[in-house]
Amino acid sequence: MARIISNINVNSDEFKKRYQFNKKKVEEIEAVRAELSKGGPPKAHEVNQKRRKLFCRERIEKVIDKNSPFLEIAPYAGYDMYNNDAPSGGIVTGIGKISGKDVMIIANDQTVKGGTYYPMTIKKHIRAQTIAIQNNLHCLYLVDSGGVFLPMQDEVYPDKEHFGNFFYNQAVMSSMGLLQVAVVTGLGTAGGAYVPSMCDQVIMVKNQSAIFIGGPPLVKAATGEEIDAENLGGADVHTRISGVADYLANNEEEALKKAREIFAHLPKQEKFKLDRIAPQEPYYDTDEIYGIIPEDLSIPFDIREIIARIVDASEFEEFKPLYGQTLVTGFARLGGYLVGIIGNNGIIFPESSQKAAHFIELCSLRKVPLIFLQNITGFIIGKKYEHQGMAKDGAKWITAVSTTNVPKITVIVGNSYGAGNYAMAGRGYNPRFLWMWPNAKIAVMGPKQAAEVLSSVKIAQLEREGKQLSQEEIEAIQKPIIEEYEKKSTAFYSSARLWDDGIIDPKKTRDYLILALEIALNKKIEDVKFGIFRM
Amino acid sequence: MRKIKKVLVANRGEIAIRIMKTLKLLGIGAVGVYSEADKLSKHISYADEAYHIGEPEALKSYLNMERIIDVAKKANCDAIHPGYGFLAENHIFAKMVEDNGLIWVGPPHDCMRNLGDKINSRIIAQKANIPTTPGGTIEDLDKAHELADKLGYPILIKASAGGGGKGMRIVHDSKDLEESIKIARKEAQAAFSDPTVYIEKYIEDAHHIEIQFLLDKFGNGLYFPERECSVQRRYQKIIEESPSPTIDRHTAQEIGQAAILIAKTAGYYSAGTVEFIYDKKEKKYYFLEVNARIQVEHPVTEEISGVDLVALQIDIAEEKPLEISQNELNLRINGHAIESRIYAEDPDNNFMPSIGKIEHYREPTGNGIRVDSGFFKGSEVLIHYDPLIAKLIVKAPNRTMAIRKMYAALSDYHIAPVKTIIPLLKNIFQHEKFVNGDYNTRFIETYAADLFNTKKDSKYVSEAIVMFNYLKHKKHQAEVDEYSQSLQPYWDTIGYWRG
Amino acid sequence: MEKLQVNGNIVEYEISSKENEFTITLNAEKNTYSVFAYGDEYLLFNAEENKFQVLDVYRDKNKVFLWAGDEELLVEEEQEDISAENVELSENIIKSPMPGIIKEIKFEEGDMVKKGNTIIVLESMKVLNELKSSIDGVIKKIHVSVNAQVGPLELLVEIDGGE
Repeated sequence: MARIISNINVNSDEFKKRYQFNKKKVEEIEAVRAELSKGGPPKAHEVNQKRRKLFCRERIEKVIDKNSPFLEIAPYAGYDMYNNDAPSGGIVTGIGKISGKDVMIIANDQTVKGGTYYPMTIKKHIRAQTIAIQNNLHCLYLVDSGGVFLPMQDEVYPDKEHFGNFFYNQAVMSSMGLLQVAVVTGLGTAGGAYVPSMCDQVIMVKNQSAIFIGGPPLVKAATGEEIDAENLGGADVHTRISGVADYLANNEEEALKKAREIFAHLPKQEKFKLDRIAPQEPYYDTDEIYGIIPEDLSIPFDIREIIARIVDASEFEEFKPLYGQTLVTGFARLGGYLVGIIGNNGIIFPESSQKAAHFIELCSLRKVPLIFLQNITGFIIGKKYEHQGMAKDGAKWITAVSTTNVPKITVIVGNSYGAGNYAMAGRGYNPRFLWMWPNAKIAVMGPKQAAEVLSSVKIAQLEREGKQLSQEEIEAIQKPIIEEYEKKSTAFYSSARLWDDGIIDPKKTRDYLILALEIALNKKIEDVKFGIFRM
Repeated sequence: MRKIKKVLVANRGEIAIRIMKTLKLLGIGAVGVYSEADKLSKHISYADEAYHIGEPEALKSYLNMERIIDVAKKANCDAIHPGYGFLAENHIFAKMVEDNGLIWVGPPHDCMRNLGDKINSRIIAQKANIPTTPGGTIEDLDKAHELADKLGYPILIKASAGGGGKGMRIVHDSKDLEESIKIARKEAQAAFSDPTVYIEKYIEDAHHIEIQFLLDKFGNGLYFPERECSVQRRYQKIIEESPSPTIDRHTAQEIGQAAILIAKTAGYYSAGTVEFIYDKKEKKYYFLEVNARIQVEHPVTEEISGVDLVALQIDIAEEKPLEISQNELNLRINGHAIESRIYAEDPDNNFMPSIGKIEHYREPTGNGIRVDSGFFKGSEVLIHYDPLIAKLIVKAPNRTMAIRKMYAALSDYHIAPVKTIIPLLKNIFQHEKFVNGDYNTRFIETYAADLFNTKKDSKYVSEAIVMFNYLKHKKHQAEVDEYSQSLQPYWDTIGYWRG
Repeated sequence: MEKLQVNGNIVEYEISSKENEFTITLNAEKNTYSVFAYGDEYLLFNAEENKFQVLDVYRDKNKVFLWAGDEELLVEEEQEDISAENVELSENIIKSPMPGIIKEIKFEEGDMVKKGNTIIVLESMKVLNELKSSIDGVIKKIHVSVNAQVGPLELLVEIDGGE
């Protein structure tokens, strides 16, 4: 493999300006994240401490292996939604090592409305389970939830990917041999009772946790029976009388220690043997990524400059470098692992589509995982390309990306517009993980194009009425559309709605990718079976 | 009658295993012994219990009489079986065994003393009117010269106590006589703890014919069909067959009866072998010596007669009478058996011993194929002892089929990287002269050009090259896999990390 | 063209492979074999010839021992000619012909020896071997002592042949 030759001048004004801009963006997302990590309001924390209960993030720190990573999933969920009442969606999810095993941890945040489920809480919970299913991860549920957020029951209860889906997933994972463990540290009420009940092994904490289908108020309303939570469905009841739970812990620390013991007794996870050599740091400083991404994403940048600051030794073996040059494909090493990389260097042409399909086929046959670096504004349009069959070449690529056997990991580093998002393994194409950079944009089309398309309808109508619009009047029509679009295509907007798994610091992209890759290798890569490639 | 319940087998290698196998069949306990060098050897695993008896050097272990008797007593044995070699023909040891209240599985020690001394044994044969090769003892150097001159060179110097070619020297010229006697004495001392040697006429066109016999303590005797052991290198047999292609049935019977006569004259009981030199041209046989022990090549006789000689040795030691008569035995004899000795030696390099670990080992199997081996995969051929890896014995309805079976079995005997004489043996079994039964004790030297360093065109060159490339590829792949497995996962090296 | 030594003979061939299928061209003859592994034993299947051949294989570093039919084969990378070394070590030295134990050294350094004199007695596998001088000369150096264990082709004695 050859080292990428960088053409970046780190002393240029442009570099410095971009560096400042992106550095600030990163500070911004980190500040937001720090705030979100605090969970619910101070008052809720006070109550929690009074009850001598740990905060959900403290529980995670205590249960995972010391001095090991925690790969948090969707920390920005629910951001700027629900009056910001549900920081991180009121639930913390992520992958950590427990007694050496890779485990998806799903922890209710009891300081956020008693750990109740908002629509984004539901979505995040299911996303975490989906990652566990796709990557063969065991699951640990730290249960402390009052069930669904009743005021929004219509958005959390009935549909396919709503509350009920949790239990379905748990049953399916248990059948796949993925251990489902619950540590009940608070209430598990109504539907919430089923999360621990559906687990393979359940730990409860004395005088602190309780599980019941109907809580004391409901029991009283329905039958007149007066009973407290501990006697209705407390740890003692369930470990001694009902058998709903398996282990009784005297306190939370003991319960978390028990969970670690349970995972310690699992057999070692067999990882797919992906070709690997000794890892090397990139030759170029990863920090320089800040100076490469332009403030205005309509300005192009060479994706190879990004690749050079992510992969081992900055070495990249480019495939078809001279053909379909708006797409960059090639092999590289990430933490020593062999990967295929697909990155955008402009709009997609029929040639670049064919090249992408070809490269995905190569990686699929060789069982080499794929990394997608999205900076895509869409497929080329116009008579020439329609006649050339852009649609069927795009279809080839989408067939390949949909039916490939290898794990896909996507990072949106710039624009992610239109069908380009699909072809580049967008959310709908089941990449194992998908992250966004702080300045990245995602929408069906760019704000300007959207404004033009939408305003053109109005302008045409006015013109039919004989009104001739001035440039100012046209801009006045377009401005709110642009603003609306710009707001709804930001990383924050996307991440709040779980269109991605988080906004990440570009400098840490390499870490994210390698950690994710090792998680993905828990699932054996099967032989490939593609669908029909339209010719 | 007395009952033997536990036997110490004072030997190692294939013969120790072979004896222990029979002990197991008889329901008798088997006690093994081993030297420091043998602590991982195969024979130990066949013993019910085994004891360390000293340093690798035979004199300090397998020839250490006091130590072995101590072990036998400590382990509550009631008998000692010496196998062949080491202490097998040491009458002092045999006496020591009995003086210590143990049973000696072998002939009486005074008889051993008489026969074991080759000079004495010749006198016994002469008493029985059996012809002996001209020769005599060495009293001093002058007398030795006198005798050698009288016999005419070449003459043979032999260890009085031994067999198997050890201490044996051929002398072509009187000027070499003194030096050869010295060397022979040293070898004899090293091998048998007895430096006495004697001189014998060297018969140039000779066949080595021997008779296995059994005598019980009641005067009942059995002789078996002759074994021909003329294929030898360095006076050591490498191929034995029975019956011999050289002599007719009438002569065989005559020699057999002569063997019994000698043994009875000597007051022998237990199993033994009388060796004769047969001069094919003159159709004359001469008494050579009596081997007062079980022999290396005894399986050949077992295969054509269906008799377990070791079991009968035990019976005789228990003072039971032989249960079958000579006539009954004669009716049992059928077919033809051949034995090949698989030595760890490089036949194409002057039989240089090939010591080291046997990394690859596969024995032939099948109907009428017997392997008496002292090794398995991972065993080491040790510098301290005889490099005999195994004996391969085949039995078939006739000699032609036996030869073909032996050739096929040798082809299926796979040993590496230690070199063995298997290629030489295969050449012999394909040699026209051997196949026709037209060979004598000088067969190997006469046809050396046909037998050594023979390179034939292979039928499997492309297959071999494909395998080499396949393995090279696979090894490379395994190395890559092993290397990537040795790398630490990123998850385990990155430490505390929170995105 | 690639080269290998098969039973000591240099063989030139061309080979290509795809998964477990090997196509070899040897002496202008082309054959394709599928290789199947069963422990130490391998089955080679030649589809065109309908031939099955079982090979027992042992790999020792860069050598491969193979047993096929009634043959034993040795395949190795082409060996450099080491005979040059042997030529240099000519008549005026005595090397051990086989591993063994030095039983006797009949001369001392500086002694005159005649061609045919036994210099060293080496015991190996219970047989005493007399190692003789092949020239007349003076013992220059004795590298071993009595009871020393020596390996094959170890230098034992140097003799100065004069001139």
